[in-house]
Amino acid sequence: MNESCKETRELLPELALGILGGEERARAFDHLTRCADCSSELAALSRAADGLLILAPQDEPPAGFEDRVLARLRRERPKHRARRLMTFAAAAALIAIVAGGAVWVGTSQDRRFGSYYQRILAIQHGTELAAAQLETTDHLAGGEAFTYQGRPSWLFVVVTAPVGDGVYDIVGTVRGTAVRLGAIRIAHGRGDWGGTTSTEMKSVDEIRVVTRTGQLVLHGTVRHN
Amino acid sequence: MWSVSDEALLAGLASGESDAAVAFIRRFQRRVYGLAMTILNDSAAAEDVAQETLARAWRHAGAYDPRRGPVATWLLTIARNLAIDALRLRRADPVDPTALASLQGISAEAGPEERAVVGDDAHRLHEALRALPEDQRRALVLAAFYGQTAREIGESENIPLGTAKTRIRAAMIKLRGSLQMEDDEREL
Repeated sequence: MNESCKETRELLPELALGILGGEERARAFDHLTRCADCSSELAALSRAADGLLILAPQDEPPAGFEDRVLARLRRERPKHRARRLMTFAAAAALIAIVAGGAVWVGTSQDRRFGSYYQRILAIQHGTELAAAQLETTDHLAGGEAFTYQGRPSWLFVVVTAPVGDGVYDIVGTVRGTAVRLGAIRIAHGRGDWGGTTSTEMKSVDEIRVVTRTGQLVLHGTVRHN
Repeated sequence: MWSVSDEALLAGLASGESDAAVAFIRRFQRRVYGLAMTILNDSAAAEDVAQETLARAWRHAGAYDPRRGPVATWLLTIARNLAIDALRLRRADPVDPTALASLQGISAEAGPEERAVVGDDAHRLHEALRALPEDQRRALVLAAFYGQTAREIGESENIPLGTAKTRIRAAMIKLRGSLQMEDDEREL
């Protein structure tokens, strides 16, 4: 354990409880991206912190609660579906861009997908199109990132998460080192960003969306071929 | 439906089965509402939080990762965060002393059925929490349930920031140790 580990270990209990703020939080995350031991210590502390919530007393909700929740789910259903379709549309549009303007006619997604994928990759000398499901620090779904290894390589990020309005950095983790890939403006919980990059996208293991002070907002593991 | 595991129920919820939604709400409503009520001490605000928690679980069921802990813990983490947001909007309401005392003195031992739902962690944590010195337990409860920072705890308890941090850290290390012991026993 080095000095940086010792300093981070002091912060981990508060980080696990979700009460560490600002600069200390950014410093801890910076170390955690490089240190597997401290990351597993954080996981153990988080298990204890989150597990405590089970100990709260249970209580009967007011009469009619179940009906009100079910009515709300029914009301939200169309919006929920629309959002899923929009996410799919973003991915489809992205693939259409790669294909040089070809239109994705998606009634049967799986049909000839392998050869289609190969043709898309070939257009920009590509070797891989990969994706990461982004999630918030509360483990809620928060968007997607698509990475393309080719000439040029590029990245496209779609965010749909209840985070504050503002500009955030998009950071990739390449063999444990953080590399800034771009910036995304999020307003009303939505944002998207895409651009080419000189970073080897095939080596990016994780995509993170962080505040300008380095605080983690969203992250996701890139699923490579 | 009641014999279905929490994970299977959540998967049913994600795929839009209405029976799964009813069963999911019935299984977790007392726990979610109870936590929100403990934090907020206001039945209307607690119901809002409980409703939003269950709606979010329904919207994001596909994002649940069983490697990170039981469904109940995942759900309660969402409820806790929403309740703390609501608490902060209400600004300077002091923590309800009765709720705080009941959390500190958590005495209800989990029965076998309860243990099946929440896992062995809850039993170990319950024991470890009870064994903490009172000042550490109080600091931990204020942080874990009410989202108070070390600085806020220092101010409300009238102690220096460093002392607040030390109490939180000492408590967390003991709780973490209690789970570690459990894992070690399992390996033996």
